[in-house]
Amino acid sequence: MTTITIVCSSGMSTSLLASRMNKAASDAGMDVSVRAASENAFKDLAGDTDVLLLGPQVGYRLAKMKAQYEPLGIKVAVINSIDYGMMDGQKVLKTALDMLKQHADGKEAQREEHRTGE
Amino acid sequence: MEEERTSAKRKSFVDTLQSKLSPIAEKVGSIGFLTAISRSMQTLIPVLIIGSFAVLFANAAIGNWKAIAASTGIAAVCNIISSFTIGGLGVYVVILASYYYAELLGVDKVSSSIISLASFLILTPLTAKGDGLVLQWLGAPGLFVALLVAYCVVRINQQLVQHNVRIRMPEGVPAAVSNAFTALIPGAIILTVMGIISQLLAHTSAKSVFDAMYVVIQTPLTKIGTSFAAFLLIQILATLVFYFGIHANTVLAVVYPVLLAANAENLAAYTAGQVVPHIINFSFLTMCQPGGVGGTLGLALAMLFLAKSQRYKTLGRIAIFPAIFNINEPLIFGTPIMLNPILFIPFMLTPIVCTTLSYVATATGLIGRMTGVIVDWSMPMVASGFLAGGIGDALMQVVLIAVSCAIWFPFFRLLDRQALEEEASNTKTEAAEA
Repeated sequence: MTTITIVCSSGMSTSLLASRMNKAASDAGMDVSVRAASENAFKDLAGDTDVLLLGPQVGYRLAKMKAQYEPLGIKVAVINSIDYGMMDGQKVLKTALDMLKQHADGKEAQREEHRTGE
Repeated sequence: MEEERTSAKRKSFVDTLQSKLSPIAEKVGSIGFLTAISRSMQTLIPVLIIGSFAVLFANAAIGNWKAIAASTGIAAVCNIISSFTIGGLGVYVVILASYYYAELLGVDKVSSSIISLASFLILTPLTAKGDGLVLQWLGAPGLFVALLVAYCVVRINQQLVQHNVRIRMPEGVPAAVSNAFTALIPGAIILTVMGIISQLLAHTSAKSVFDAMYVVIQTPLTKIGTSFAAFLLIQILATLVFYFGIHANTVLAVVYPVLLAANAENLAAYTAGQVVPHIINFSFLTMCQPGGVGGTLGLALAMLFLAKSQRYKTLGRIAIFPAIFNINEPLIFGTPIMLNPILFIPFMLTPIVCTTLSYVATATGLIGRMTGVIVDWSMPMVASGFLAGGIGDALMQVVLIAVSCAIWFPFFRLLDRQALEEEASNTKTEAAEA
């Protein structure tokens, strides 16, 4: 089971994206759970998070969050702002899972990128 | 080609701007105590809403409900609820602000908030008979003392722990036991100082920290913070910050304490049947930014009903539901409004116009002043106006929504036409390639 946590400043707009990502994941039959939280509540959720995505409105926190959580093995990134605005659950989900894949197997990820490039 | 180059240029400009602004946002966001205030207020709002609705329920001017509520004891129940929710604002703030601030500084949270609460109570003056606390200071009038105490206690605690002023237990003592003793020395030092301050001031003409802070700091700050000029300035700053894609919470949090204090004063006057003193209060925020920061409800409606391009049709359907609850991230990032030079105009103009209109309408008596009932900014408009002020405010909000539509509409037409052209040329290229 892969857990993705997305955070914004209050966890309100991200919860909309989270539900869309969950739907995209269950439609594709993936064992992924996505949840939304406020930025300051994340500390308690770090334990079982695999990927941490920041809403663009808290994107300025990226460096700090990376420094804090990457050593714990959590992948951290900012969500592309257009994908965020369009609430494109599928695309954001894919980005998040790709980050994990790159981590697990560099070559596999490259091939994957090549495939989507076509 | 030309278009690609300009869009690349714009992108690099945006990147530079963001890389310049991010450290500033990071810095403002990391003024720990502001963050602590903002978090405390967020945590407290449900409690304050319950308290203010209790007042509203007991005093609703429907038929002879007020008399019924008084005679059946319903009013008494409501009053006791409001007395110790809103009326206890200072106590809640001193606990929460020190808890969150200690968390940010990495000091023991629970012991910090307990020491803060004890300090706050030690500083609270007694009644003339000496048989109880002067209750008013536990509420909004004691708000700034609460903030000051929280700040000082956590800071002192941090210093003392850093310099290892604590009891060290011999090895082998369980951690739970030795942790309990860690707070003992800092606590003793802080509370002794507070006790001395409290007793010294009791013998001067200042009487207490509360009296002094109230006169010297809280009253002038509330005057400034609830003045039209300062409030409008804060609205403009918050909107500007969001235009750069950075959340406006930290900016708004600066005025939350002052605004909530204004609510408490309004509610007290309302309960006593007097004229409420403040036009601008926490609930007034529901008038200023229809549909979220930038007053984008008009844009969401235009998209939903008028979009011709596929892109904005889709976004309109996504954006409308959050927009009803004044959440507009889909619009900010999806349109995108962020750093869009054309949309800067309606984005700044709508809040300025709405804030000004609402203030003028209230000041001229066209609509009544808000009673002080606390409604959160995420409550849908018309409902929020009705609860905060009554029919007049609800109708005013309908006007404000119309204003937002009128300002955003021409800009949306422009945007939609561009998107439509883009879509048409995309289909053309695709058709040519096939």
